[in-house]
Amino acid sequence: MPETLKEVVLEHYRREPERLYVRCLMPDGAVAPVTYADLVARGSQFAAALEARGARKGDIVIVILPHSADLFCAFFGAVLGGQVPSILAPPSFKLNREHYREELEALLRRIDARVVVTDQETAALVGANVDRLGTATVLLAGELPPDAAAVPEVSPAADDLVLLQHSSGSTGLKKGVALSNRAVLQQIRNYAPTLRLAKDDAIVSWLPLYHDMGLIACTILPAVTGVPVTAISPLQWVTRPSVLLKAISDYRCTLTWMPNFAYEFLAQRVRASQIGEVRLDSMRAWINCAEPTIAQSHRRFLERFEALGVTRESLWTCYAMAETVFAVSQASEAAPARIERLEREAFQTRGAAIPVGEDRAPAVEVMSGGVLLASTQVRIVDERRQELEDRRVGEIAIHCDSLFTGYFSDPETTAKALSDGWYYSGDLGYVADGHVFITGRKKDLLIIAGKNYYPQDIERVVSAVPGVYPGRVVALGLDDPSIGTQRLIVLAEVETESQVDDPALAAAVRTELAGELDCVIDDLRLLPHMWLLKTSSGKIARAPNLHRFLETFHGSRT
Amino acid sequence: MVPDAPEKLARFIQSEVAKDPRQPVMAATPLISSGLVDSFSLIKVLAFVEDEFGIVIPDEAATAAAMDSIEQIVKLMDTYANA
Repeated sequence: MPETLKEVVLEHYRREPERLYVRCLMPDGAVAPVTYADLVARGSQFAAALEARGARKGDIVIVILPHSADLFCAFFGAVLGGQVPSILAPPSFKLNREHYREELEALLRRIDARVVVTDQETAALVGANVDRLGTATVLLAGELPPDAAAVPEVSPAADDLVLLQHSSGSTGLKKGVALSNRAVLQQIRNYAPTLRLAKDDAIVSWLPLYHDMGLIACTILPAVTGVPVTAISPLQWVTRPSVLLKAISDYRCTLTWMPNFAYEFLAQRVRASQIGEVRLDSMRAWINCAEPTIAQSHRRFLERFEALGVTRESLWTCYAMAETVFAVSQASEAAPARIERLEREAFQTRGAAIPVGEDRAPAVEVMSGGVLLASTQVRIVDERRQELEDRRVGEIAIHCDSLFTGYFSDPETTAKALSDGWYYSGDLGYVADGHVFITGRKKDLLIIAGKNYYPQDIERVVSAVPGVYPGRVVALGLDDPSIGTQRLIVLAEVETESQVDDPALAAAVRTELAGELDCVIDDLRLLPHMWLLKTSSGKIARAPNLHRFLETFHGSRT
Repeated sequence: MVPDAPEKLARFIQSEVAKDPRQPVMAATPLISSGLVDSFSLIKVLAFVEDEFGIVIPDEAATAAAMDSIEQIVKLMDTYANA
């Protein structure tokens, strides 16, 4: 059995070189198919160019490319060369260029990256004719020598790192989840049977590859299992989500992964005129993952698209994270997601998950992330990491054979999260009847439309805007079931009374945040000094300020 | 140019799309890069352009970078008005 991702890809290449790996759908309607022969040929060209720029086995290679066949080929080029690729998001046009370059260089230095593979547009954004960034040499994908290159001879080992998955957040908080060949292949071997993957399956995805769901489920899982993937540009999907439905219909796709908000976005925003005669009955799994799953979003999605062939049985859920490579639990047709109505008072005040009947109000509705994968265990623990019984909410700790190696060059953070083979996820949840229910987060993390933000990053940027009272800012996520995700609320105290609610200062705050973090505030409040509540130790506490915000501006409490 | 397009777009964006309806939306006001409009709302602007003016802006042209102000959107509309 192959022990590395490189061997797996080469095995497909030798057996079925003309088999389709990925079909890239471009926004202008062009289709760029990549077979295993193409992947290995183009990948080897990337590998040769990486080697020419000094990249050796085990070196970190950063890939910053837009949606294209080359994005896949550059990633696998580094894999063939025995390097450790990490895909980062291409910079949004709105980002402050200087800031982007500084952040990128700081990250490259911190992880000692050898080469950055990018395109002319990104290179121009960070400075024309740039050939070095931090510690790294720049390789432009458009300027690869046209000559065919041999597959590199290097043979990585099972325990060698195969990729780094970078989390969201600013440079200071961005963590590189280091994954070995062994962990990645083990995850796919545990996961594929749960999905009952067969070779006539076809995956479709609009997810960005810098996100673990896009990379593991929709890039690596296809390469390991040989199931082809149809890839859509994430940027195109945002302005025309119907492109996903058209692709499913055109290519008879069977599986996709999406964050919860996408179900609402599709149900609410796709226009009947855009989809004509599409048929969605080829789909056997729409897998809801990467942000809290909401049963109501599934109901609305089904209501909208049932007539086109979407079935209730095809709406699956998954609980996943980069630290376990990907999936921890999965709901499927064989083990459908459980939906429970819980007694609200007991749930909110005591963390007890007590089911109540349909008629008993008030209740909280939760949907499970399915049942555990093979070779995977979870423990629900309290603050002292003592195990709690079933139906008690606590932190979810995970033990499995696809755990990450650690956070790259960050032993301190690794030691906090990994202990005796258990990963402490920072997610809160409970277990009942073998199903894992995720109910919240212990760690400070906002997930807005599937994208993660650290509130500290937002608070730091807003705090630095002249007129805002430094250090007296709080960023909050407010669940909004109507859009299937969280809304970003920012409460900021101002320095002078005249700046309370000042539209000019509000505009400055929004512009700064868009430029630094590519982040949009749904509700910004500029408040008088001393409005925010602090704890006795002087820290701004998020939960009490969320309560105060709701009470003051919405006349309610959570 | 499509008659009244800038005014109609400004009214629509300010009241239906902008995160802060108090902010004035002028022809050159940055929309996305100012954090006033998020990219998920562009689809509303595209639907408005289609319904109100009967103009379909193709996907490869309908990017956030090309729709960052009313001026830019009107330019795109002019380009594809008779396509």
